[in-house]
This record gives sequence, structure tokens and C-alpha cells, in this order.
Amino acid sequence: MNAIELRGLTKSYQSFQLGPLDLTLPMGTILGLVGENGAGKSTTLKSILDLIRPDAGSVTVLGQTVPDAYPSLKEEIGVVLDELAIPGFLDAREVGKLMASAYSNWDEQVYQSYLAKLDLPSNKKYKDFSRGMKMKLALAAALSHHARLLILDEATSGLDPMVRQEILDILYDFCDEEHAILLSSHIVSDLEKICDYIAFLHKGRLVLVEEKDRLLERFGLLKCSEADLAALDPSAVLAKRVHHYGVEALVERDRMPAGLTVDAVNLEELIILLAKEK
Amino acid sequence: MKSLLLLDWYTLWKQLKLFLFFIVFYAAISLAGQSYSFLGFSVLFLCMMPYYLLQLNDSSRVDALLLLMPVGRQTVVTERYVTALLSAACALPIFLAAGLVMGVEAVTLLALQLAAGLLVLALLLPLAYKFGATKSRMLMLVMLALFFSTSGIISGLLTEDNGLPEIAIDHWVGILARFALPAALVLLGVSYLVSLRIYQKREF
Repeated sequence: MNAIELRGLTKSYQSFQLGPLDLTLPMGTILGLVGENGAGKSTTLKSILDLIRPDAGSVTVLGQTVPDAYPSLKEEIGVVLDELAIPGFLDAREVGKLMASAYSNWDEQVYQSYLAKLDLPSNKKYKDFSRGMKMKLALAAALSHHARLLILDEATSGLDPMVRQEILDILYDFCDEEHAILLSSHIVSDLEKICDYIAFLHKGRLVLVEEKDRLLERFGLLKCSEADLAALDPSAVLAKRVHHYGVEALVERDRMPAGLTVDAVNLEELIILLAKEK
Repeated sequence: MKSLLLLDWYTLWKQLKLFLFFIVFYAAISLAGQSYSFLGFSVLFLCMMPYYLLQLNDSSRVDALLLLMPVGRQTVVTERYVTALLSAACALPIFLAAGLVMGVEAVTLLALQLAAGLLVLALLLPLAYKFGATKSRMLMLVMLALFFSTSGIISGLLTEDNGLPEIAIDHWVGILARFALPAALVLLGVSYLVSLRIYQKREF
């Protein structure tokens, strides 16, 4: 079963259009939705969660059509959004009580264990938390009602490397055959660490969706002169960056002539080059 | 619904303690002095409570959080109107005390003020759902000004020597009091349906 299926998802605003978007998140995998600010990542996530209404297309979550399956289906979804909306006057204990009254499968023991594991005080007000603590609390709440799908929007942005790693470790442990994660971020290095699939969204369009490992195998970085580049099949060259000493090009490894050295490319370089070209 | 009521309780207790204090304070000084003037404030504060709760929720974007939980849009709106009715019901002890201390005339006046407060709320809630709490605040101030001037006129008619025949005034105030509260409740029902329609389409 797929955790999420988007088919022809479209949403238009005055100066921005998302889609049409086709995207699948298989169960048991982590999909990283990457893109620059304003690329449409949050709009996509909000469409999935029915916080905004798409103009066209269909959204299926855990095999059920939404928004018809909401609100009961939200029992199965844990969400951490960038724009946190937990009232500042609540402490972690009260947040737990609030969640317990909303989720039928809320597990107070799991919540308390996450508070202890993430070193979160239960009697400190949310507004006095640091950004890292706020994110950790939101994550603890999202993981304490036995959700099968986690949706996170910029959950690691603005956090120090240690907290980011802590969060990534928890997400990595969460994802097994019965669970899935959709994680949007513009911190590509975080996505590279844990994602199975990468979807690159640029100016509202899905530029690529592929298995991360295959993506890194398929593409490489060719450093050569402009004349050498001109001799190559243009369709095998996805993007290029011209320097005063030559050209750096993102190419399809398999389609390069023998004898050329193609270096490995990391996800961040790949995304930056693609974004620049598009 | 339970989670929404719990959240409202937390908000009320932690953010609106002063508000609760003024309701009790105005009622107390009014009853002690046997004067109508401050009782109206208590009744009005009670009527406006759901709007203030909505305002606080709106400013911290709590609705977005609620809709991420297994809580439907209809439940969010329904709970707000249930709070309105619960809040209005809290005015009953004030009515009772006013009746005992100041007589039936005070109850009539308070019934009119409660009806006016609910009417203001019925108009404000859909506007707050449509335009957000910040934009609707200006409209609230206009409505409150209308509320106070209307209650001032009615209070004046009842208490001052204005040259009008007393029987005629009592007659009209009696009729108003009899129909105003049911009419306000009907309008609150209509307001609920309008709010629901607006909220179903709202984006976060």
C-alpha cells in the first residue's frame, strides 16, 4: 500500500501555481520533498492535510481518499509543521493532556518516554522553549499516538547540528514496513542522510522524483572545457556551471563517452545545479 | 469536542483571568449598590467570551493545530457556539441575584442586555471566521458602541423622569424582553450555519 498518492494536484494563487503534481510515497519509505523557499512544499503538505483546498486532482492517504476520510484518518497521521501553533501558555504536560483528549490511541507512556529522551521539561511553558525544544516537543506529540504516517515540514530548519541529528535518528528509527515519512526541507544534507526517495519541487513543478541512491548513481559531475562539453550529446547534460577555468556539468553517467572522468555528485550540488538550470 | 473545551478552559484560566475577575467584580459592585449600570458589563463580558477565545486562538494559529488532530471543521465551529451558550448560561446566577436584590425590572433589563450581547456575538463570529480576529476587532468596537448606546437609552427610559407615560414604556420594554432573547437565540443559530459555511472553505 502507498502511504500517500497525489494525482494531478493543482493549486493556484495570484502569483504562484502548484502542479499538476503526481507523487507517490510507498509504505516503509522516507520521501524528502526538497525545493527552494516558495517552491510549493508547504502548499503540497497543506493540501494533503486539508488545511488548504486544491483546485484539482486527488489525494489518497493510507489508501483512503481525503478530505472525505478526515478527521478520523488523522488518528493515523503525525504532523510537525514549521509554523508551530501550540499555544505558548501551555506546558508539555498540558500539551499531552490536550493530545490525549483528541487522539483515541494516545499513549501517555510513549509521550513521557519521549519527553525524557529528548530532555524536555514537563512544567516549562511552550513560549519559553527554544526552537529546538519546540520542534522536539512537536515531534514527541506526533510520535505518541501510534501514527503510521509522519508528515514534517521544515522540522530541522533553524536547529543546531546536534538537535538535527537527534531528530533524524528518531525519524530513521520510526520508519519500518508499517510506517512512512514525508519530510519537506531545504536542508538537503538532512534529506540525504535519511531519505529513500527524493522529490525536487521547483517553482511549483515537480522536476524529479527518484530513489536517492539511483539518483546519485545516475548523475555525476563532469569537469571539462566548454569545447569538450559542446561535443557531448546535449540531452545527457542536465545543467552546467561555467567558471573561469572551465565548466562543471551535471551529466548522466551512462551516456558519457568512455575516457571522460565523471565525479560523484552529492544531493545538494545536484539540486542546486538543477534549480539554477530550470 | 472534548479537546476543544479543554483548550478553551486552559485559555480562559491562563489568559483571561482578569476577564473573569471583571465579570465578578462588576456584578458584585452593581448588586451591592443596587444599580443596573455595571451589571450590563458582566452580562456583556460573558456574551463576548467566545469571541475573545476565538481571538486568542486566531492570534496563535491554534485552529491550524486543531485541524491537524482528529478534529473536524464542523466540530471547531460547533464548539465555539456551544461555548457561547454555556457562557450565556453563566449569566443566570447574575439574573437570579439581580431579581432578588433589585426586583423583576432589573431582570427585564438584563434579559434585554443578554439578548443584545448575543446578537453582537451572532454578527461577530461569522465575520471573525471570514476575515480573521484582527480585522473583525474594529467591527466589534462599532457594535459595542451601538450596544452601550442602546442599553443607555433603554436604561434611561426605565429610570429617569423623561415625560413619557410609564405604562407605555413598561409595555414596550416587556414586549422587547419577551421576544428579544428567543430572537437572539434564533439569530445565533443562523450565525452558526453561516460560520460553518465560511469555515468549511477557510484555508490555513
